[in-house]
Amino acid sequence: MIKSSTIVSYAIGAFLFIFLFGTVFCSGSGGLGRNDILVWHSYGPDEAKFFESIVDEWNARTEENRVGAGFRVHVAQIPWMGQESKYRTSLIAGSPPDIGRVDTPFIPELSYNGVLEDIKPIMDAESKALSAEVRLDYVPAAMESNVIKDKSGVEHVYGFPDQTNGACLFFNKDLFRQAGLDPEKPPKTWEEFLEYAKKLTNKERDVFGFGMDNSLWWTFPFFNTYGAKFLSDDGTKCLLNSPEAQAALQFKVDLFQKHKVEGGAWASGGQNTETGFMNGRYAMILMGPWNVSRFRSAKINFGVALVPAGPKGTSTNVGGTNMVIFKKPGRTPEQLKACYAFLRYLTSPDVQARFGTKLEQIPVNLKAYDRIKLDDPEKDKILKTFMEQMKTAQPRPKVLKYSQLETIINPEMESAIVGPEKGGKTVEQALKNAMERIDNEALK
Amino acid sequence: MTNNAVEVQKTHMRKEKKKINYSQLIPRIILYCLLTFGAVVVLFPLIWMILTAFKLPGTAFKLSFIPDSPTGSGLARLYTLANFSKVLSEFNFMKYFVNSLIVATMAAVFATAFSCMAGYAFAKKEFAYKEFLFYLLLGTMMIPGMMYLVPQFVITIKLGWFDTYQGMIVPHLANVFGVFMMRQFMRSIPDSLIEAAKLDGASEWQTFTIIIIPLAMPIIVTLFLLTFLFHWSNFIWQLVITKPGSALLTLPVGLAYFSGPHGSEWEMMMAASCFSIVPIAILFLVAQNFFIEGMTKGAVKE
Amino acid sequence: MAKAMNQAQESKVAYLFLAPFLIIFTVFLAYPILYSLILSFEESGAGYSLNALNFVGLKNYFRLAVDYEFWWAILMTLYYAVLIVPMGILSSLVLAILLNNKLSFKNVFRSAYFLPNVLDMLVIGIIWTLIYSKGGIVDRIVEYSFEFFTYNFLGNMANHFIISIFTMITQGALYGLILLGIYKIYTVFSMKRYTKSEFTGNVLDVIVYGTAFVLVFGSGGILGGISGIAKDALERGILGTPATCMPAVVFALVVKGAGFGMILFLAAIQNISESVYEAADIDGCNEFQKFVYITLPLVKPIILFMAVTGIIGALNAFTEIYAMTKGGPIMTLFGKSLGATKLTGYYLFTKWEQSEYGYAAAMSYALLVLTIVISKVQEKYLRADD
Repeated sequence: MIKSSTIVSYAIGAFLFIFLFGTVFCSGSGGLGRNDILVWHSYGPDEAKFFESIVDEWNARTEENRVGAGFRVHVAQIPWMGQESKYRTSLIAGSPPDIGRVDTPFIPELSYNGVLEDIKPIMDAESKALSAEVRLDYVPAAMESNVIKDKSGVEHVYGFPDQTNGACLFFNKDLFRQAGLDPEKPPKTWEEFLEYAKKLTNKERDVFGFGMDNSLWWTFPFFNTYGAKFLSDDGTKCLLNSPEAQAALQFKVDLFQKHKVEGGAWASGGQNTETGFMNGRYAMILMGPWNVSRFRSAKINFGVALVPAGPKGTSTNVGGTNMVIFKKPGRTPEQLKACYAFLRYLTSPDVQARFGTKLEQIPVNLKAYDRIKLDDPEKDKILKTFMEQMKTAQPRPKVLKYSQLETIINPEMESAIVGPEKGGKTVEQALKNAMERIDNEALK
Repeated sequence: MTNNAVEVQKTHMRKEKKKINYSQLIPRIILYCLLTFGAVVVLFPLIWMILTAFKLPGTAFKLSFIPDSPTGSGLARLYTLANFSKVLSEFNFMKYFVNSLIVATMAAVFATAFSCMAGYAFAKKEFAYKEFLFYLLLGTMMIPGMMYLVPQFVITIKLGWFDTYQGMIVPHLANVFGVFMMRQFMRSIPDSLIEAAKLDGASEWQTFTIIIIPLAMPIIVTLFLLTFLFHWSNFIWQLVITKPGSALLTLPVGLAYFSGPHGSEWEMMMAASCFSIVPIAILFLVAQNFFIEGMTKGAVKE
Repeated sequence: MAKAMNQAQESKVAYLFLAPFLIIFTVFLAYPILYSLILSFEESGAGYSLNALNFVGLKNYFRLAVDYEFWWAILMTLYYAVLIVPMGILSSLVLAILLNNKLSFKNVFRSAYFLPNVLDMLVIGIIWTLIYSKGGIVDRIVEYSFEFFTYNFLGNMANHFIISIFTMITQGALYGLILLGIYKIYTVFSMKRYTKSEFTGNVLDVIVYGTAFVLVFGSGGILGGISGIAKDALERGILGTPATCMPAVVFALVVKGAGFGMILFLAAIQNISESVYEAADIDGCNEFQKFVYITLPLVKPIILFMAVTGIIGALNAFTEIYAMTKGGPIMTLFGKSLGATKLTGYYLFTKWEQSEYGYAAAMSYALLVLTIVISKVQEKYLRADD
């Protein structure tokens, strides 16, 4: 008995040993060499296919003496959810990709930690004037998110935008018709908007003129159209307590409190803007282009318009992603130039025009704008509205701890919407508190 | 004489049966109703999920479930089978599924085994530093999982286990929760049984395998299920420990590819989730038999 | 001599059994804890490498001590724990007892109640958000019940006769039940027992009874409060009203987790052999006594286990909040905006997301100390009844 059990235990031990430590003895598999560029992207399935075809094109180009000849680009996909953890852990392990697609607010953190390559020297090398022109090619707000000024005021450019979007006004044409409004004439100013919303709100049928999201990103259209500046130019002080910001927030708050045309989309547990729009509960919402196809398959008869103009005209927020180049030990200047060349190719007017037309997206390169023409006139009109809107979009404040901005100001705005009678705050109070906390905590 | 006694008993029992019928019938019916209602409430999210998996793209959150006409076309306006087929084909589902299966099974087997052994030691044995060790264990439970992420990642990489099955399985084999659970349960096993086994000349290992394990079988099976579930649905760790595009990706990571920056393709996600529930449901049904067997064994032993 | 040897023997054997677990534990769990401890004394500097941390001593802990959001989170977490732990244990126990008897379809019910455990927390959170949303099922139920119980049946008698009669009966039944309850309490806690003179006793009784009456039915009383909350909830959604959001979240979680506890209790109960119960029967105990004196003590270790893990779970609860309320509807107290479901686990996560690793580590250690204190108290309390 004893003998057999000892044999068994030895067998188990040996198996475990091999299992646990086997890989230590195996050598690493063939990796990528000096002539390879690894790109991590987080695209959805359709975008990923298009991206890979562009990569293939670039790899197949055989012109001699072009920048980047001799380098191959490889692609790996990471899921959008959890991308920060993925990037952070790979940076800790010292093995980030060469190029990565990152969400815009992630860039300040990456630049602060010194892991990104500054490509401004490359752009300047060609010529300073050309460099400025290059930047002007792009949608301003999208490009701006790549530019970080360090403490001594020197500008660094860390990448190029690869996708950009912003919010526009979506409205339900059927509900418009039912309320006696012309479905081809969306509101052009906030005053008109308020009128329309009042006509559209119908308590019995559970229909509201507007569904409002409360987070900072979705409030930027309001702030921007009223001309409220969020941060001082040097980025050290929050300017939220200005009369413009108060007016903007007050307008928002009134939509719910005073005029009662808003359906509670901001409340935790309320129907959020998308759901409510799809269920016909909200007649108008602010929304980005990513839901266009979804609304279409839900068979909503909707239209898209520019964000209603405030005292300072129309404007919107900016979302989207950028492609940044990570620092890697042992990188040669040629490889860096190759990365740069690839990104320029990806964002060239031609590629962007194809990107926009095929995937119904806003091109990041302004020069591609007049090359876009979708077959379906409806779709074309919608895309052109977005493109038009992007011209007046303003970038987000570039703060190291951007998420903390949201964490601080969202509750304050929510308490303002709730109002002082129900245990909330007045607009002025809310903004003041937010400003103080932001100054103390987020802008150190 | 005995025959008569038996007869009397039988009639007595028959009379008792009749009594039970009426006075206990109404409470029983109420009980059944409550239980069924409770089961519906409890299963409601699951039903919702399954229904959503059939919905047309983009309509996940539309609160409409009932087709407007009870015909095929009425159904087709709301529901579709496309999500399921898309999940299976477009998306390498089998690979992820198999990986998840391998990882979860191996992890559950080893983690449960280790927890059993450790729990037995804590429950029935005296040894140096027992108290201290136990509180150390409890302490680790109180620290939230995300604090472990970076150190565990660094260690795992140093061991050379990046993007390997070892790296995905081994770090989480020490299941403190399981040890605690085993300990509590094994405490209720009477010491007399162990003494008796020792007297019969059983070795430690034999006592463990022949006496303790069968008695604790229901808990062991539950622990196995839970560990399996944990590893099956573990997302963050499997995400960071694998290379993007690796051949070892598990299901939750694969599912994440459906979530874009702006909401997710809910219908496909729900369809994929339905698939991922199947092994667990099967496991549980199989385990149910273990429960029942385990019960009777324990009682008869007494 | 023999005993000492046996002790050493036993220790050795024990450690052999512990070995596999302990090895992995030390490498993958104990070391990270140590690392977190060190981390709690540091602040993240620039750079991702682990060398980019600056030692700052107790600064994180001081900051924690004056962080009002942290203390608020602890308060909310305690509230959450007080709701979820007893309810969880109770529901699991009840289910186990109910499904232990010879009930047909027992297995079907058991599987049904356990199945929700199998679902991913994120998915469940999203689905319950939909269930609780305005216009959703729960909202409609609350709305109808509210209308039911505040229906002015007198005023509408002429127009909607049947409805008026119906609501009158229901409202009457409700109020009757409440009155009956008050009466029962009154008979149990009657003051008459404590006073010598019958007259004083009666007077006291009237005072107590009267106060109870006013408390329940008065305009500032319980019923008024409930209807106020209901109105709020209807306006802002169940998950959007500070008063109802926590119970709602707790309910969703209890529903999900009851099955798991049920299995544990079932296993323990079914280990108790029939003979013990039969002996009790012969002794003439009724069902309730059997439960209290036989079943309860034997499932005590499980109850302790669920209590401890429940509290630990409450302190670390994150996914459920993330999926349902993201910190919850905002309440304003003393000029600060606070989330009504901002639990410590969620707060920790927000700090982690903002790359404040040192601060998050300090917080987890503070919570660790707190949990140890609570667990020790619990163990003493439950052990004393052994």
